[in-house]
Formats: sequence, structure tokens, C-alpha cells
Amino acid sequence: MTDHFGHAVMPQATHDEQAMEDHFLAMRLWTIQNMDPLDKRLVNEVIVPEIEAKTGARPKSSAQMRATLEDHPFHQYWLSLSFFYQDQIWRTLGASVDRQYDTLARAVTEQTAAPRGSLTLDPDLAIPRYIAAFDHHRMPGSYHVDTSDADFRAGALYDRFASTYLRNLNGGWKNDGRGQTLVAHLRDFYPDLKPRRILDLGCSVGHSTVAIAAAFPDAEVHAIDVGAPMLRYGHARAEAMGQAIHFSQQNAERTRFEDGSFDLITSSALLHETSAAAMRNIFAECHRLLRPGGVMAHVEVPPRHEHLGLWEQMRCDFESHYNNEPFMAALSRVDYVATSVGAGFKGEDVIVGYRKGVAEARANRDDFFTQGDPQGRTLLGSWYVCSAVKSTRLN
Amino acid sequence: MERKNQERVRRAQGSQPTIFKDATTDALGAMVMALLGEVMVLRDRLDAHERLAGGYGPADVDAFRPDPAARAYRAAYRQLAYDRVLGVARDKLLPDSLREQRDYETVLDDVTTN
Repeated sequence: MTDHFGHAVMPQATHDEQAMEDHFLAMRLWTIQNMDPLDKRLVNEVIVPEIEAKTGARPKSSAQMRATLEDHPFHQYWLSLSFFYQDQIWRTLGASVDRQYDTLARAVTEQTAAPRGSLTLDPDLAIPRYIAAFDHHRMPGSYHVDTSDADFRAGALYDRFASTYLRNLNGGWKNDGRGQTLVAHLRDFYPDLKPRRILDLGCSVGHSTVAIAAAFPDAEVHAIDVGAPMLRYGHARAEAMGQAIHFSQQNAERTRFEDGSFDLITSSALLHETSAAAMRNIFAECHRLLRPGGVMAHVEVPPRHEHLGLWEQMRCDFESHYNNEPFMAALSRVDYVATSVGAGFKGEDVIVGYRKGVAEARANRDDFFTQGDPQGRTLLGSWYVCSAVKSTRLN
Repeated sequence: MERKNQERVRRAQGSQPTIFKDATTDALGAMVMALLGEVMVLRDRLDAHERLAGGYGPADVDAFRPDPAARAYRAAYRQLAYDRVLGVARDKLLPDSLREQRDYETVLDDVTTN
């Protein structure tokens, strides 16, 4: 190997493995550039008029055109290009991780020999149904299946995948764009917040946690996830990157932490992989865990149903129907303010809107906005943010 | 290290939709796309061989990292290969009403009468 990619526990690619990753990225780009515009025209110029001629009304939502659209050969081709390659990426990256498994196992052991942070696992933790029932984004084995007694495979796979799938769009191999954006949002709206204890929910391998910990070097940082192989890898990764983070295997709906024990609670792209009930529980748990005056901040995927054109709605549905992200389409309709109020926050203390993704956290109010794209496009490159301060006033 | 659950991590649990008219057509489509990946990797490997001087073995090719110029060169032939392979189905399946070019008869009319 010549130069080492990423950090000390990142899976490394041979020439052919890298070539296959390059191929996946380039093929995806080809699809976006060559197929997406035509598939959108198919919807607007063929499918919508066809349905209107048949029923006398234009479809108002993507659900009303799904059957007609999915019968069309051109759209079937678009679907196949957007769908099959996802399984192929996992197969290729999984084989690469397995090839170097023992080497990575030694690296994980070395990095965690004298840790600054910690790792606490709970083998009895019940994996919630929305994680156990299917493999999110078609990642075989999901976040929780162990392939050895001290397994880290899911973490290694996810880390390598994220750096491939979002390369250079979300912070390169650090994949910390969401974490940086979250910190920017905090610095923008809560400039006086000096958190002593921080909790990051659904941290996976700690992509965002590391950025948050670096932004608040004086804070004690905790991070939880339900997946043991994610946490074992995330612990080693954080140590390799020089951040002291305390990882523990817990469900964000019901943690073991005490009431009022955190100043800041965060999540990055967690909610869309839960459920409506779980999201309500998570917000209520945030309210319980925050001290009065403490802040919760969630960064989520950008699709918002009320701002999307028909094709973009379909693109969001695709994630739910084909890519094992069942809650994503429903979340795009969720009222975050109502959910926050239901969890005990006061409506006037809740901030909800888009935030432009940034590579380095800087407080710029122009990066925050609430209007959707006038053409109904999904605001890729931005994240949907919900933050709320726990009131110090009595009800 | 001893491994377990290997079958479980071989295939994603969850939705297994059929996109085309039947599962066989889907399987053929998936095989074509898988083969395209194999061909692209082979092409890159050949490119690596062409760039390396003599006296090297498989490990040297495995460790070979293309420089930015080589990566740009590869990106260019990759796009052309996708145009040739993936573009076939795009052009065959695109409905006539979305074609930028007018149908052949009209074009023929134009060039023969004007």
C-alpha cells in the first residue's frame, strides 16, 4: 500500500477495490446526469397527463401516480439503475472488509489499548423492531449483527461506505458534514451555550460525534447506539482520531442516564431510521435528560413533503419502498414543532428549518432558511434541523 | 478470528421488489450491471499495467495508486463506456414524446424537400 486512507482503523482498498468504488460513484453520477432529468420529464409530460386524461384530475401526490409510473419501461430502467447498484456496493465493500478482517481486528485492539474515552456494551439490550425487522439502506446485517465475538464489521463497512457514497460531499473520509452543520447551528442560535455534558444519540461510528467533541473540547461527551459492532468500531475510530468519547450501547428512546444530566443532546440523521412512536419517545427522552436551559438539536435528511415536486416526492418514496428506509417518506411530513411540544418543549423555544451543509462550523444566519426550492427540488447539500431549548420557566 | 453469522450478512433483509416484468428480467438486469462493474475494474487494471514499467507483479498493481491525471483519464473513458452500455437501454426505453430529435420521417421530409 502506498498512502493510508483515512484513520488507523479505516478499511483500506486494493487497486481493484478502489476501482470498483470509483465505478459505483461514476455510474451513480451518470444516472443522476443522464436519467434523472428524463425521468422527471416522463413524470411531468407523460404520466401526469395520462392520469389526468383517465381520471379528470392531476395527481396531487406521488402515491397517486405510483402504479402508472412503475408500469412504464423507462421508469423501470431508472428504478433498476438506482436500486441494483446499492446491493452491489455492499457486496463489494463487505468482501473487502472480510479480506482484511484480522488486520483491522488488530488495529481496533491497538487503538483501544489505552483509551481516553470508554466503551460500555449491553448484550441484553433489545434491538428495536424498526432496526431488527429489516436492514436499513440494504446494508446486510444492519448495525447490530455480530460476525465474531468482538465484532466491528458493521462499523468498518458503514465507515467505508459513507466515505465512498458521500465522498467529498459530507466532509470526505471524516464524513462529519452533518456534525459541522449541527455545531454551526448551535453557534448561530445558542452562542452562549457552553455545554459541560453532551449526549449524541444514534451515533453509529461517531462521524458527527467526533466533530461535536472537537468543537466543545471542555465537555464530557457521551454517545449511544443500539449496534455493538458500530460502537466497538466507533470507539477505536474516536481513539485513532484523538477524541475522548464515552460510547455505550443504549436505546435513545429510553436511556439509563439520570434526569437533567445533559446540557446538550444531539442526533444526526437518526430520526428517519426510527418510527413515528420512537421519534416521540426520543424527543421526550431529550426533554427528560436536559437540564433547564439545555438544548437538543437534531439534523435530518432534507426532503420536506410540502416543498417537493411530484418527481422529488417519488424520489423520497423510493428510499422507503426500495432502500429499506420505511420512515423517511413519513418523516418528510412530520411536524417537528408539534412533536417537540408533545415532548414537553414550549413551541416558542423550538427552531425548525433547513441549514446549508458546511465543512467547517461557522455561525452564519444566511445558512438557515425555511423556504423550499421554488422548482420543488430536494435541497441536497442542506439538512433539515430541529432544535429546542428546555424552558427554565414553570408551566 | 473465528467468524459467525456469515449467511446473515450476505444479503440485505427487507424489501426485495421486482422492478421489471418478472424476477428473471430483474436478475438479467442485475447481472448486466454487475458485469459492467467487472469490466470497469478490468479496464482500470489494464490501465495500471500500461502505466507501470516492467519488473512488477500482482502486488505492485494492487498497491498502484493512480495520480490525478490518471484518475481524470479513467473518469473520461468510464463516462464513454456508460454512454455505450447504459445509454442503450435509456435510448430504447425513452418514450417518443420526450425525444429531442423529431421522428425519422419528419427529418427525412425536411432534408429531401428543403
